[in-house]
Amino acid sequence: MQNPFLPPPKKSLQEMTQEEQAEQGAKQIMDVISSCPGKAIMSGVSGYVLGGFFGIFMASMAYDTPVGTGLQSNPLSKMQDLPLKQQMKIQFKDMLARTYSSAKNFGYIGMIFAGVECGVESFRAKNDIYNGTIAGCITGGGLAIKSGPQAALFGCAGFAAFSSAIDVYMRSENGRPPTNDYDM
Amino acid sequence: MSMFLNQQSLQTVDETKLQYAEIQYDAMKSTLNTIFAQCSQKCIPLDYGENDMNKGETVCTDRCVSKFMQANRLLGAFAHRVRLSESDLSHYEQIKRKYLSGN
Repeated sequence: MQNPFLPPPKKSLQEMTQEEQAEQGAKQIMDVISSCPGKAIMSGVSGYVLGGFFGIFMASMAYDTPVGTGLQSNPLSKMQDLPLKQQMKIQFKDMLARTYSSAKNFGYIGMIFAGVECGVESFRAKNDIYNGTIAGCITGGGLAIKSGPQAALFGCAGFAAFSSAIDVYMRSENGRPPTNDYDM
Repeated sequence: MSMFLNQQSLQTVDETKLQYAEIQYDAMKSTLNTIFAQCSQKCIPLDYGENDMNKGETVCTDRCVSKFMQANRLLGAFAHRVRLSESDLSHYEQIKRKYLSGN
């Protein structure tokens, strides 16, 4: 007798109706999005965008840093003596550089954290707060490793603590479902 | 439509085939129910906050079902090879009696 636990045989794309094709396509998209690389890419992209906004905001707030004029002909002229368009161009370039660096940082953070957390969760086959702790440690340590081992250790500890705190807050609402809908 | 064509064959149902079908149905039903009970007990914790399964729960359920089916296949082959029958499992009656009496 045939094994009834196996799924039904797959139909090729032409045999399915329009509804089934749409359902199949939606299922494929959901599979890709919920996979580990998909999660990492999505988190990285959203981190990049968020970092961009953050960088623009921070660059507009930082009015006290001196910006060089970049003009070779007149090294003694101050920024205020330049025409308005030149001032705007220089400031805009500086803001763009800040935005880009901030966006890159946030994008890395998001991508590495989401990827590592998903990988650790798939490996352990458990869903608890320690996935976030381990992923935070690897993210923080990995981003700070160029500044030496002590910086990496502090980055690991800080990021792991931050991630654990956020996870504990998010999970504080979880609990067992009520036994019935009447006596809450 | 066959009930109008072959009135005779409607009355005779092969008893042995029916018994085989019942035994197979019982076996598959108990396997499926055990899979549900065991894997949900091992993989899905009682605290949850959303109706979808997490990545960890999905992976755990996949592995649990796969291991269960492998073990089921191996044990089935073994039982078939040594021709295991109900008389070999007579000690289970005592266990069942003890469990049902509430000890």
